[in-house]
Amino acid sequence: MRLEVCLLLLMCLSWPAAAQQLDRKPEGESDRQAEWQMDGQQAQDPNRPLQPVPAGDGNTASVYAYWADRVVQIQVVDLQSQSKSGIGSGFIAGQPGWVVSNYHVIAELANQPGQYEAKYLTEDGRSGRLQLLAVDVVHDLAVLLAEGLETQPLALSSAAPPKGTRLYSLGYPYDIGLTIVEGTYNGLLEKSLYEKLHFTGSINPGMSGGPALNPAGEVVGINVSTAGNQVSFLVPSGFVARLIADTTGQAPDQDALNAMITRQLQHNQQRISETLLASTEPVTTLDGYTVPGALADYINCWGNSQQDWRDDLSQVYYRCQTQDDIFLSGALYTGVIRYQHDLLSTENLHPLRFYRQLEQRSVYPQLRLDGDEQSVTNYQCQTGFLDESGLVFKSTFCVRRYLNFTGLYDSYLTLTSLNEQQAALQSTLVLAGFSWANTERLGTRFISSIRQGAK
Amino acid sequence: MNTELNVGANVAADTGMTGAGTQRQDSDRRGILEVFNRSGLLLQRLRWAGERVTVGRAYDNDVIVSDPYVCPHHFELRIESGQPRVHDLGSVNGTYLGSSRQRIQSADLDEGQVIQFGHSQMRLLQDGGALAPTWLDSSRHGLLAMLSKSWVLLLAVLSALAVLAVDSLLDNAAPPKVLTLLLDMFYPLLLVLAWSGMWALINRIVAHRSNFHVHLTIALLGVTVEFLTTQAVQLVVFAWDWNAALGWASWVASSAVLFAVLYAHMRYALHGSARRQIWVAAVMSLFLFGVPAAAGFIDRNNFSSLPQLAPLLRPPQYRQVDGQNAAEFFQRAENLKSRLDEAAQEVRGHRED
Repeated sequence: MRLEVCLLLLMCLSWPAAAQQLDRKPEGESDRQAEWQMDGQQAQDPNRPLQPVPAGDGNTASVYAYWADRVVQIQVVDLQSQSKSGIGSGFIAGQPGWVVSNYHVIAELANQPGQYEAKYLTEDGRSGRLQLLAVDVVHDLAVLLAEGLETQPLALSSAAPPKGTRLYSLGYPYDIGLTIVEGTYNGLLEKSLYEKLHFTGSINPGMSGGPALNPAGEVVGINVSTAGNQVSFLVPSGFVARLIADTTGQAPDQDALNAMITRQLQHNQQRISETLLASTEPVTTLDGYTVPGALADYINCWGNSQQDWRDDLSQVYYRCQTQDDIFLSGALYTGVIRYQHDLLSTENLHPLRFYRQLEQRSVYPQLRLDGDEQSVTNYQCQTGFLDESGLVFKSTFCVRRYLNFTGLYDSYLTLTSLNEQQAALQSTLVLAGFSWANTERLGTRFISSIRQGAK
Repeated sequence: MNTELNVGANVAADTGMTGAGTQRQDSDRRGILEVFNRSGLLLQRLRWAGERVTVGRAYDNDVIVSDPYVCPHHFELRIESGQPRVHDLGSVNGTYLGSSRQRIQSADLDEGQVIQFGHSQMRLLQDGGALAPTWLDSSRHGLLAMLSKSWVLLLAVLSALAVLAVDSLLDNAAPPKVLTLLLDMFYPLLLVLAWSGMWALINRIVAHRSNFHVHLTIALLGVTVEFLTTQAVQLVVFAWDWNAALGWASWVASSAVLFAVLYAHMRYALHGSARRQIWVAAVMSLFLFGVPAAAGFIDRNNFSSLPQLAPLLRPPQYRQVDGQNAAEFFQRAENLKSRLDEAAQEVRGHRED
């Protein structure tokens, strides 16, 4: 279950395009970055009083009046039908004529540049072509070059505002014209793999990529997703600053774009794997078995048990998953970890009947990943007995490869313990977008941390 | 039911059939007459020894045909200058030769040529052809004769019910209930009945006996043996961890069972040599299991976003081999990696085309 709902209306399929490696420090401070830092300096001291809106009294109307011209609508146009296939929002940042938006808004352009083009439309009726300059798929960001748009950039806030600060989110919801939405800033989202800000304002489809401004008119975050009922999420503007600093102004070709995205995904999976492998093994007990528990704070776990009133089978389960994912195309989300443990037992069933039940449960994958023919290969599987920590499992390991991002794999590891006549543990680990080495390391760790007997 | 037809007995000798074969002259016989109904079923076979044969529905004919479309005196056959000829006797529905739609008054009749009259047919054959060996009645000889015994049927019924019950028990986690059991057995048994009925029908058409109980015995034994072999194959595959062999081993086992079943049905239902039936049964069973297997093979590269999981699970005590440790398990998975690289290479190749 994905917590968030992407804001973009009509998303299409396919594979992605690119940005620069995230942890890389910008080589020297460009004028652009200096400019951004200058703009940001005012907000750096969290104790300083908030700057009033330059145009007036800080109310919504004046925020709108003062900054609306820096927010554009982005349309992704299908070249064959000559009509828009997706819409979103964007804003000028970094340099005059540079538009920042969400990666998911322009993913089609990155994936199939021959089939789509992107254009901007301003509130006062100007429009022009957009060219992709850089992307950051991990934080769902993109920088585009807007032809013929000379509007000055919005400043980026460099520090998080105090919780409760009023923010103004702008964008073009449902293609009904530029809209401003008021809400409050509620801090960083906890238990999140990819930093996000919690904003209580109604962000709606089409507003993706639009800015959320503080009363001083600085961009605090970028509209990215919503969980409904005024629970919305923003990408912190710090990531925009980093991406802008790494953007050269040269449009990359398709291979360069894929290489850029691959680097970002590789770096991201390495970061996740290292934190997971470095953590002490948090375990939980499941009716006599010790199994991997919530391995990190961004992994959310819940469990329950049930006794089938008709069948002589009881089930205790424990399910964990990361709360976020990385959008690569309408058919491919990555950067996900899911695992679950099901302890099944019976009072009276003959072992042959009991294991037949387990077999039937194993045929259909309990955890699923997206993916289409354009983005991944078919799964290849192997199965066999596994003997680890004194426990014997029947194990199936399936793995598939990303077609456009070399060295990244989705994997599906499922284990059924063969230890008792009338009880068995079925554990499954799903990793999306990990390197082969990390898939192996995380898989080995997962297997070896399952033990019989309480901790 | 072959009868000697001896009308106008000695006239034949005087006509001096010089052109005809010596055999006919020697034996003073014109040949064998065969009468068929419309669907080709042989009704009578009689020897023609005299000069003239009358055919019709009336009781004073030499050949009496009880076909309502045939006239009391429909046509007659005569030898004229050594040549058999057909003469229509003014019939209402006419007399025709071969597949011709042309009504005849009189015409020469050639060896083997079919006379169409009413809804019946007649032809003249020379006798003296080689006889095929007497067919063995499967129900009276060899191992297959066992299948027609009632205690075998009883055994087949009991064993099939037993395996269906076991299968139902294995499939359900609920405590056994008679109703569940009956419902689970209903469709397999219905299928068995329909299958046996089909073979009984074939048997009836070909050999005029339905042998339903035999076909039922064969089908029920087939169900039992199929269940037992499948379970045995799966158990062996599980015990020795031969997962890669599961596909073809199940395929071979099922094909073999189907082959035996088809062969047994054919021995009872059809005429013909055992060797030919073995061939037909082999081809049919390969075809029935081969087509889905081939379709699966062709389909193997079709994209699916789901992994194909089908682990065999049996209670721990059936395991006969040790497991690998995690490191060895993932070491083995390097094979998957190279297969994935090949698959990705293939896709890239397609894209560039």
